[in-house]
Amino acid sequence: MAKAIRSSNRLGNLAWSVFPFICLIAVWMLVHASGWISPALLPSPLEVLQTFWTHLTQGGLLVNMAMSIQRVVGGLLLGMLLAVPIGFLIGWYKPIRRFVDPLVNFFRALPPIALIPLVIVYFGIGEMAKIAILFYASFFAAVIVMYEGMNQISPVYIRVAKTLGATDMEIFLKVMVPMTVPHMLTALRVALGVAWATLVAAELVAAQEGLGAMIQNASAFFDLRAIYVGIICIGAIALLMDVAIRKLSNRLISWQDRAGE
Amino acid sequence: MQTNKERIVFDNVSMQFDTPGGVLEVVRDMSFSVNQGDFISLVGPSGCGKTTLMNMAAGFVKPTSGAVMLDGKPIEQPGPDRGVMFQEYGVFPWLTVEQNIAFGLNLKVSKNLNAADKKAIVDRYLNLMGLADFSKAFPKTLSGGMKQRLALARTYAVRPEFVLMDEPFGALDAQTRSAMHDLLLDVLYAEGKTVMLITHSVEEAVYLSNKVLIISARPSRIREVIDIPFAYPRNRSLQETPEFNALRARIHNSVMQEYAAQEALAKEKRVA
Repeated sequence: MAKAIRSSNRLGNLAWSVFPFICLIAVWMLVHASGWISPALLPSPLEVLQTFWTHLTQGGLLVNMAMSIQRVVGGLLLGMLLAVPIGFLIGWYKPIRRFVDPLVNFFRALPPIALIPLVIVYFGIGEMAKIAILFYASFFAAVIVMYEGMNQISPVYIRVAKTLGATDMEIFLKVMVPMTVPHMLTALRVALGVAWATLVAAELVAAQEGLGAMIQNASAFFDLRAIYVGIICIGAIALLMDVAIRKLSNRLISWQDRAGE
Repeated sequence: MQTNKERIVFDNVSMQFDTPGGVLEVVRDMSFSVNQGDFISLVGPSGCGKTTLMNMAAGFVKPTSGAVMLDGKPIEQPGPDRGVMFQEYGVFPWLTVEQNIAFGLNLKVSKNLNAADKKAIVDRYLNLMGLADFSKAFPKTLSGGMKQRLALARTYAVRPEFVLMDEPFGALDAQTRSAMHDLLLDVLYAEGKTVMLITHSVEEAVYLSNKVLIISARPSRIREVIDIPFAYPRNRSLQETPEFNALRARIHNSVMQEYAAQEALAKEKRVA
């Protein structure tokens, strides 16, 4: 009985996450059918679907997707790889936190997109440039989240561990690391969003392949359908990745006491 | 149980903090000792520096002058010989109940224990604290009283000689607190530990302790030391005796005078 309720809930949840999109497409169709906007400016969902199919089968859409995903994942992994140890350093050593504080606040306010021209000057327009800008974007997004998270960690846990006889190493491994996992996952999620936004901007400016480049090329030919395909693909992939990270979080940090649960 | 052997000694201890508003004198020339088997309570108004005294015994802070010593040696840092119970429990949320109890046993300091010993200790405290049904649960599912029992079990598991408690029952409702008092008395009677309790509940102090120190308004000095003559084991019927109530009323009066002094101090500060 309980199982039946749970599975029907899951079905309900799925329906609720799909339903808004169905509504969005319905509105799109209505607007298209009503003729308020010239059909030359607004393709119908069906036309976009057809374009999607042709691009998928003959237009190299898969290559574009693969390029974009590869860049995002590569930049994200590199960024996280550096952000996690730096986050620990900031959390562990007060002088470092003091030193880093103003810098973090400066970079927090600086959108990574603003650095694209500079990156092109230094790294050209090759893969290196894209990875560099994505690395920067995800690193700072992740470090800021880690930093905020470490500031919130209650010192009582460290005190408890000390009174139970833990060494500094044990406090780090058995208290700091597990307390940081939720913040790492949040950092990953935020960095992923920032990485996607930055990637598309970078590809719009300078790239041969990738979803951003595809949009840019399509716009040169006034190919609105392809632009829509590109936009929807970016959104869908980013959403799927986010859902994957959320699932991973739920599994890793089921111990967390979240409000409203 | 209770003996005259001095264990933790506060010798002319003073403590000052540098604050933006100037030097804040929290403790002044305080001397007292915690003897083997004592259950000693420190009562006094909020903000009078009781927690600072406990932090010194625990080894989190050192006095500005004077010394806090354990068996004649100055206390330099925290250690598993002095278990500490915090008001905010400090139960590790990412560990299950049994993993929390085992935390101290799985550290290097306990490496001479084998797996069977550890399991026996964990099981013993799971049962003693009434947590056996929740051994695999995460703390988020526990009530405040259960978290407090878990914190107590975790402290006891590493066999400390001393238990230092900083308002451990402050956040519990009245019934849970009362039940915790009796549990604490039972466990202490069975295991014989030396306890230093910081509290603002006079009733709690009289019911649990063999000695009550009334701490003055800031800077902390000892206003009075009162021996509580009731024999252990104690139970709640003690709280209805005239002797108990007379002692409680007397201590309460003293504490209230210091409370008034502390309030005046706070008011003075606001004016200045």
